[in-house]
Amino acid sequence: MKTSYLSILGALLTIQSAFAVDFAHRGYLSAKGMKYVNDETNESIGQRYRAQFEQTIRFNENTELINQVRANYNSLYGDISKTAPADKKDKRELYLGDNYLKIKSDSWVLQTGYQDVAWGEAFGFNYADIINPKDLKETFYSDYSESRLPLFMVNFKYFFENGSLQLIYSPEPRFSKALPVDLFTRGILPQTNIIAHREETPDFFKQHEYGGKLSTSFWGLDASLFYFSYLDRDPVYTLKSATPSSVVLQEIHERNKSLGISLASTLYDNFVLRSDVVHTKDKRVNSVNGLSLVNTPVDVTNVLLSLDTPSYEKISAVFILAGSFLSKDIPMAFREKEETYSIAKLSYDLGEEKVFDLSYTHEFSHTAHAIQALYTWPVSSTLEIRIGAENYWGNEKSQLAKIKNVSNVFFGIKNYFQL
Amino acid sequence: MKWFGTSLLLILTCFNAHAADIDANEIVKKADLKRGLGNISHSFVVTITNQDDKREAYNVSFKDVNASLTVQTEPERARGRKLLMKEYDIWLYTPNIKKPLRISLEQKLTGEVANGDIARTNYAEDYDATLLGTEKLNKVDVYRLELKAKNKKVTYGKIEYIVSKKEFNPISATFFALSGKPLKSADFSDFKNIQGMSRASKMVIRDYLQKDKTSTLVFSDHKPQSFPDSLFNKDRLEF
Repeated sequence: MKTSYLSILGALLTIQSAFAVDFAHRGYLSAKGMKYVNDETNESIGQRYRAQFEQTIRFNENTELINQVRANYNSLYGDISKTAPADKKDKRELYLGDNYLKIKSDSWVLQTGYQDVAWGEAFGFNYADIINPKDLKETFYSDYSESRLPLFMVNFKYFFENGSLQLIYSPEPRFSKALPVDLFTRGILPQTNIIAHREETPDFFKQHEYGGKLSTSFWGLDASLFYFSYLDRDPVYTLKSATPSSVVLQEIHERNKSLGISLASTLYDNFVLRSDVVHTKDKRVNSVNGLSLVNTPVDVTNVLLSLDTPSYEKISAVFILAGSFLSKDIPMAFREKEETYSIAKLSYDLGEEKVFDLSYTHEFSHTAHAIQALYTWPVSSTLEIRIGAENYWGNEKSQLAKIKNVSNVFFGIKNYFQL
Repeated sequence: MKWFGTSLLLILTCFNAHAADIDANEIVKKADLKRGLGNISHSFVVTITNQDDKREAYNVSFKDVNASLTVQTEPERARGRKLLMKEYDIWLYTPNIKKPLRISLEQKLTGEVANGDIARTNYAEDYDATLLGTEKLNKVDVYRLELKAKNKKVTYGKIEYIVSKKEFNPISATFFALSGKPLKSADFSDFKNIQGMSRASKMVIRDYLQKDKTSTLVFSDHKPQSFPDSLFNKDRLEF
């Protein structure tokens, strides 16, 4: 026993001296409390705690291993569903976040393992952010790093002058944490209790996802062309069983193929124009046809155009136009043929990194609105406080009104640490 | 009396001839070398402390005046933010968004400090200098210069710059927006032997209107270093 212990210790010391291994440990703890203001039937208080611990092992200048563990306690989730409060349970999760090995040289990088890959130039509506699944129950004000769910990938990027070529392969598709299905069926099956069974994530190498992105920058313009073949992150539903009072659905995720282009350019030195256009072939969309639930393949084109303005008296603005268009009309569908939005966001720089953001979103298809306000206050080198409010309202058929129950005021605190 | 007038004219002529002998842009070039290693590929560290003792730190990889990468190391909550400047294009990477975003030239790094104060410090490259005159300032003979932006893409529209006559040490500067509005002033100090030459290691920036708002930049760890071109590729920021 003693001999084997000494052998292992010796081996570890040899590895450490051979690779001159460096360790770094850091992470954060965060807490958020919310008071829902539009929800008359459900719990009106929500809270969420998160912890993330990250270890970086650097073997040498070109090789490192990232290990991340995340823990969540969440009681915010269920409240946007119309399901009875008794069915809603607080969620406790412990899972691996980013866990990958990075090997790099002057001209290429290879990352293998669970990781995030973010495509697209715009923010607000991330139409081009198609690689990682998301926790869709996070609202607009969640950190992207918190709403993205890591995906196992072999991620290779080759750099050339003024550009890069990225190739991605994933042997293990994962799905987004979807919003409750009854949000989309209220107008169609208003009185029915709907239970949806999740589709299990396919085993390793049962399904394959692959794609790539070619990026270049010239004359003040960034341009990317990308393609990705993948299982739809969002589910469509098939009918499993039905009684007069309840319907049981099964989630399925069909293969999507998306082709897109992203552009960003500086205009007149202080304006930035961004655009993402993504065309997805044969995406399935659910609809009710008589007494049956069907899903129809349809092409979807998502377009976003945004303009960042320069600041005037410490106020800067971003204007966004976004639209999602189906190639054909599907009667009684879970979504509209055209869903179009405009967003105006103002940021007021209060100095010392304190920022007040105010944004207004207008949904055109069925008139609806969202107003969001956020005050970000970095209190110290490790502590950040966020205070805000979100309100969603409008026509019952609109997408924004579907999430009206998440209208809330919130207080959040996040503490970063390094060991 | 005639003799006195002729002598005075002669002295003034000599003085002006001496001022004209020295090219203003040469003075600025020499003063640039007293604030950094010039246009050679090198790395350095900048710490910025404001009037409330809030501290930030950045590692800068400077390839030449047209390519630099700034990586934030402090405070902990902002660790990993990167700013890439390539000619007049700028990209920002933040670990929570996980993709490089093109930003406008006017985006400030922190407090009173513009991106250009850290990563684009060679005034001779970006401004045309005119010698306004010479004077004595705190018993030191100095050049008073006016630097006008060569184009609208540089950090400031105009800089009034004071440089010591003897050693070409930068002493102070007042920065103006393109509109002509004064923005802030800076004092250069703490001259140290860095890579074989006496250079300023400290720059105190003050808001022009709110003089109590200050940012103190301390430059250190200057090392000549070569970098691969791909380090300044915006698609590499996420790695």
